[in-house]
Amino acid sequence: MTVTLKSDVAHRQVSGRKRSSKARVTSLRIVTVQPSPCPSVPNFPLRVVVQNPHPEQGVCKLPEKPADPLWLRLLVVAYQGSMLLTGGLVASVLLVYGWMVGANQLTLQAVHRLESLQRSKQQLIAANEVLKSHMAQQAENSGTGLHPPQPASAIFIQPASERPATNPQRAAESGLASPKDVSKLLLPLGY
Amino acid sequence: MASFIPPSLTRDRFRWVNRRRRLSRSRPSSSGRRVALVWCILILCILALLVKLSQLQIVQASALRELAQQQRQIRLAPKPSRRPIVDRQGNVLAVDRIMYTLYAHPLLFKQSKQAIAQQLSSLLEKPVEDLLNQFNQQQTGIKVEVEIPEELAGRITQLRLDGLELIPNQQRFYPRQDLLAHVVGYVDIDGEGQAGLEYSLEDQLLLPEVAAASLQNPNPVSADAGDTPLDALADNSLAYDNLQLKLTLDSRLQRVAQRSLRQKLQEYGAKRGAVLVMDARDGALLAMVTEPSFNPNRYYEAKVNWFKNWAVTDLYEPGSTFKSINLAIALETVHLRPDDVVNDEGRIQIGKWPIQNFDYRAVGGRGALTIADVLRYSSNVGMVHVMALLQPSVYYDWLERCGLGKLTGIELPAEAMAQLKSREQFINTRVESATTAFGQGFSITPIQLLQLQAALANGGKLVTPHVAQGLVDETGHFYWKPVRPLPQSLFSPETTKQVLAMMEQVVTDGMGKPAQIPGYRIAGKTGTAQKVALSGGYSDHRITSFVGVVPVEAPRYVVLAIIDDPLGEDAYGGNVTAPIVKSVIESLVVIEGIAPSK
Repeated sequence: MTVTLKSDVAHRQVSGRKRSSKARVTSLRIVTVQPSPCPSVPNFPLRVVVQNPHPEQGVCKLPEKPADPLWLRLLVVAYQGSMLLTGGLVASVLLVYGWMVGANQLTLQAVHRLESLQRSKQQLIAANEVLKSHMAQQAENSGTGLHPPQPASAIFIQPASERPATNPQRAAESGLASPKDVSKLLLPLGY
Repeated sequence: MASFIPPSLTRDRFRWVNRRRRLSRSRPSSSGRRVALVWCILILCILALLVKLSQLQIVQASALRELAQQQRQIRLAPKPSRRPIVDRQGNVLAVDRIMYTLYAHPLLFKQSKQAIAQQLSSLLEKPVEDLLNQFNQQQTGIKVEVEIPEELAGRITQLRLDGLELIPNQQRFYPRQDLLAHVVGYVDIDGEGQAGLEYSLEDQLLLPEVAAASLQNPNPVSADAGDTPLDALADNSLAYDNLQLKLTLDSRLQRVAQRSLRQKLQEYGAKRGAVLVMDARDGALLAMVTEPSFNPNRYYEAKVNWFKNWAVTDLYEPGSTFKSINLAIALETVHLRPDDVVNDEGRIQIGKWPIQNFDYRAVGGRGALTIADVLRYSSNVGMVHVMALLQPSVYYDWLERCGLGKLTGIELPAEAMAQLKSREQFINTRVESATTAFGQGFSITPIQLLQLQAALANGGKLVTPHVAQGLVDETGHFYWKPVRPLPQSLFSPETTKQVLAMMEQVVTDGMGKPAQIPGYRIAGKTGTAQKVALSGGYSDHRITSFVGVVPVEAPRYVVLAIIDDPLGEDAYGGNVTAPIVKSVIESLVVIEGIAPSK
């Protein structure tokens, strides 16, 4: 059986599809073949195409891909980390910018509304006081028939003396026999 | 295991790979050039970005920063610079409000001057010709109208005319006009208090933001360089603390007092007058009218001497209204009783100075008079005999204890200090204590006389007269109260009770009859003093006064009315000022709910 080690081809095809580096590494590892009388193949470069002199005997086992070196793994981790960081920063920048712009707009709207209300309040206060003053001046004119307050035309009501505090419940218990009578006492009788 | 790759496919792919490999081996320089080209493009892009970045950040930085700040700035309307002033009922006496100034820039007019003048004419109530004359003065910056209210400004804006500009500015407004002008005062065009409480309590009236910033910028843009709108808003919110200066005065009573005073001023052709009402318990003034007054909204039209609250700033010789104070001093020191008797000769000679009663020509000497009768008839000679029972030095000490020579401490500005002769002169010259006995020979402010009369009404305590309660919010909670000295005890309650009883006789059966009110017990004392002439000595001009205390059974309110220089031979305290006190007390008892007691 003739087996073609197609790592080179696979690599180019995968690159053409724009897969990630992780995907490429995985595809390289997938290539597994059944044991057969295969010539010994050097590990690298993978571009070496080896022809099985005995295709009828099955597929040759591809050589094991050696582990990635430490610097490559670190680079991959740094790459992934920086991707995440960049994404997060972009999102946060958009959020902060949006908040700043939005908050300012909302603040401006609120400020203008507040100002408008305060101006209205000032106007109302001034107008109300002008009206009161004007009415008082008019009332001073003899033609209106109004007079300054006189004690002869006033009714003085003496405040009633303070009554001792009573407990309605106790009064009901002592003076009324049945709850029905108590409810009659507490309910308004009329207006 | 069999192969899973079809042989035909394997062969095809194998050929394709070989062809590409041959191609790549045949053109190695082409790929390198492309990589170099891409690299160059990227480098150029980076360089271009760097150039643009440096241009933005370095070359145009300042201009762009200004643009950004302009976009972020909030143009806020001018904020109130002072807190409102309200009376004890919450009626607003002074408040800031926005008024507009209309400017015209004919250079920017899109319509003809004639058309714009016609549209503005009806709104501003100005003739078209006047407006056209104004428009023809210059090309820009013509001040067309000032003090335009908000509503009218809105209507002008709705015309949507190019070339017109409305500039808002805060203005102090006094809705009660001249009613409380001498107490409240006024604020000038620079925003500075110039009279009354606007001047003396300026620190409490000014809002914090304006107190820290300059008053000279009436139209501030609140967002300063570097501030965000939120910062500006936070700063600006300080301007709204909702505090207001609450006074002790009652506008209703003030109006009644002003009306009564003006009537009498007109009737007797007098030049000035004052009415003061005090709550004797704590010295709070319920009314303080001083005539002539002015409209603080148009202070620039007033004469200079109208700005003076002469009840505080001017001295006068109180005359007979001081006799009740003298009697209290005598009762305290020589243990005199109201039924003790002195001789009233009608006229006596002290040194080269003759002293006589005001009615000596008509009545002559009254003979033996009780102390109460001395007050009832307002006998000058009787008072001279009573006060002669005191050692002059003791008498002088008492006058100093009464506060003569000191300020009362009222918040109003420019208070005058009572003038008393020097101790040596008073003790060594007999006529000095004799004239002081009937309220002449020394001078005092009306507010200090009121303070002393209040001591008779409140059991002998010398309270501080005041018009301001403090800074209060809308819920009635006080944030600031003026610190005042504790009331000093001057007379004993028994003494004040005896003096008040004698003063009640003045109203029931003496010269104070015009102040009687049916059903009410009123104590009072008239006063008619000769005025000092400019050349020295006394002139024929008088100053009449009347002081009333109500109700006698529980004395609380003191009313003092003074009229300066009433014309006519019959112008005395009894008939000129007592009716003013009567009308004020009539309203006072109704406002305060004091029921008649008899």
